[in-house]
Amino acid sequence: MKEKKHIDQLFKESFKNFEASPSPQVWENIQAKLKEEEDRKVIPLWIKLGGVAALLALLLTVGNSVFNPSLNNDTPTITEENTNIETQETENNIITNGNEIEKVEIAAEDKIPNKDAVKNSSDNKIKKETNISESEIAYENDTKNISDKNENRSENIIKGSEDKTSNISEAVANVKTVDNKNIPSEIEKTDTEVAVSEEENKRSIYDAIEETNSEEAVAIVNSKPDNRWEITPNVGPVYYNSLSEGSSIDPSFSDNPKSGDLNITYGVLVSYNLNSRFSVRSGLSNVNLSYSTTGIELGNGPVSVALKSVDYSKRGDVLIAVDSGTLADLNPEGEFGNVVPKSTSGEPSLNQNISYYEIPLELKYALLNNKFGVNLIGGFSTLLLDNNEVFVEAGDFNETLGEANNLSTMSFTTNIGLGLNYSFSKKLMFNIEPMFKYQLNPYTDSSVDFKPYYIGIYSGLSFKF
Amino acid sequence: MTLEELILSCKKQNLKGQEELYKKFSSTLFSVSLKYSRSYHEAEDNLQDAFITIFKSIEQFKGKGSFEGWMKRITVNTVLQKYRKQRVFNLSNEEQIKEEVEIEIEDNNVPLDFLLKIVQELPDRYRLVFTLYVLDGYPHKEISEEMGISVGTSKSNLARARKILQTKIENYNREIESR
Repeated sequence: MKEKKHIDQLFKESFKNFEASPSPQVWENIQAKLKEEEDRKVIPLWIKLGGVAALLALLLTVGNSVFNPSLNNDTPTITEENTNIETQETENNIITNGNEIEKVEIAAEDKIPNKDAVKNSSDNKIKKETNISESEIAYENDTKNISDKNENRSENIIKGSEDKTSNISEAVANVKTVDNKNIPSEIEKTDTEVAVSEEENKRSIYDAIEETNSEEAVAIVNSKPDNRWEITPNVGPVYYNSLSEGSSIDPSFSDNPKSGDLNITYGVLVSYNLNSRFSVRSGLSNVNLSYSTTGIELGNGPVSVALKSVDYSKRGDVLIAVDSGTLADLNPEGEFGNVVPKSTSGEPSLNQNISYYEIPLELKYALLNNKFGVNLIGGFSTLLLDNNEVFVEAGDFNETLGEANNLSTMSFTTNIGLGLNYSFSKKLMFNIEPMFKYQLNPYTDSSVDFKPYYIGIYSGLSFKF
Repeated sequence: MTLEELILSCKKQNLKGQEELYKKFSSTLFSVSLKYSRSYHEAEDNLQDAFITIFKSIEQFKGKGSFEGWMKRITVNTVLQKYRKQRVFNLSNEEQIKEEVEIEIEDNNVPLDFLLKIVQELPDRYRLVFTLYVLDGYPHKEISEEMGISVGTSKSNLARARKILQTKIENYNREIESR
């Protein structure tokens, strides 16, 4: 008889005690993956910091040799040496004291049980015993393991010095009764000598401790993050180019080959640390930018047919630069006079030099701020046009046409960059900052399809105060 | 080693402990993985991923509830995550499929191998819903939340799965009888 049952029931019952073993390969895979992940935890940090570390290691080597001599004046290592020397000196003092004490002690101790003997022949005996103790000390000093023994002994002596001095004074008292004036005076003398030198030693040790303490205190005071201000003179190469094809000089040059030039920027930044991570900064720098356009032809002709965006510095016939092959199109007839082609020795290029004063306002965020620092920098700059010129260069030939008239006297850039730094000390830091700056409104004529940007690698030294 | 000691050892990422734990529970969890996966091979892959997750997140197991249950849960979630992304084809109007509660079948002592095979052959979502509901006893509400579908979809998916399984079992029985 076949039993009918609900399908769910059938499955439930069948799978009730279902168990299956996976192949051994599965564990091997798991093991491999676990290992792989453990390895991966270590690597990314190295990859991230490897480049930075390599660069900064190089700077460290160079920087250390340059900056170290002036910075290591008051380093703790030297004071440590001093204190070592001092303690050594005090140890020596103690040792000599110890010898003295012992000298007296032996004499004194021996005397106490021998009161009667002392009474009888004090002079000789004391002399004899001092000789013995002296020779003992001399013998011990001759042995090779002086230092250890002496140290041990000096420790013992310091510990028991009070007892011994009292012993000595007892002895002195005893000896006094003997009526021998030489001995007590001698003992008294050593007694006071011991006391004095002990005091001196104590003082010198305390002094040394105090000195080191005060130096530590100074160091602690210095480490307080009070240096909120930072001044950074910097300099660096800047590369100028455009994100788009256009030309800032004339639309006819849009498709001409253009190349950005490497120039220089220098200036000073002042930053204020808001907290350990964020700082805000501003400053003033001079930026020189230039780029050149090739694929042009040159001619001499009237200003009226010359480049419109250039204010020519002279009147009458001027040097005319046009897109290759279009010189002939300039109407040579009529009232404008002729445009005479100019032959040059080399490939002619039309160059523009622009110089700006830059006032940045940037926020810096420290991703890493140990001895090596990694920072993200973002902000904007105000550019004030200083001067600019458009000039033609061809082989040896070089002639300035004039100033471009379409540049904004005030424009802005958006800035983004990465700051790497290495601290030589609490006050001095070396920075290197690759920055990308995109110009927002460089031209008064908005139709100019030229989107200039510049990349600068700023490097400088920061002084904190 | 007691289970507590084993868990502690795994929390310290001790490989010996991990191996022990694997040996102890791999069969149980593999059976879970098999029920939810498309094939034996994929079940092994899923088991592997599940164990990696278990070892990585064992720190989060605070001893509340059964450890085995916790591991099963991770295994199910691992498989769900994998197949949830993959859509089942031709599921338009799926909510309109009526759930037929009374699906009776002749029990001819159908072997477990065959039952597992036909479960694995189900389209992903049918299989997941069927296994969750029938084999592991999850309610529709929880299934719908887990899979990101509506309760209605979950129910109709289950009905569809039952229908497919029923047909296959009937075919199998007929084949056996005709021999």
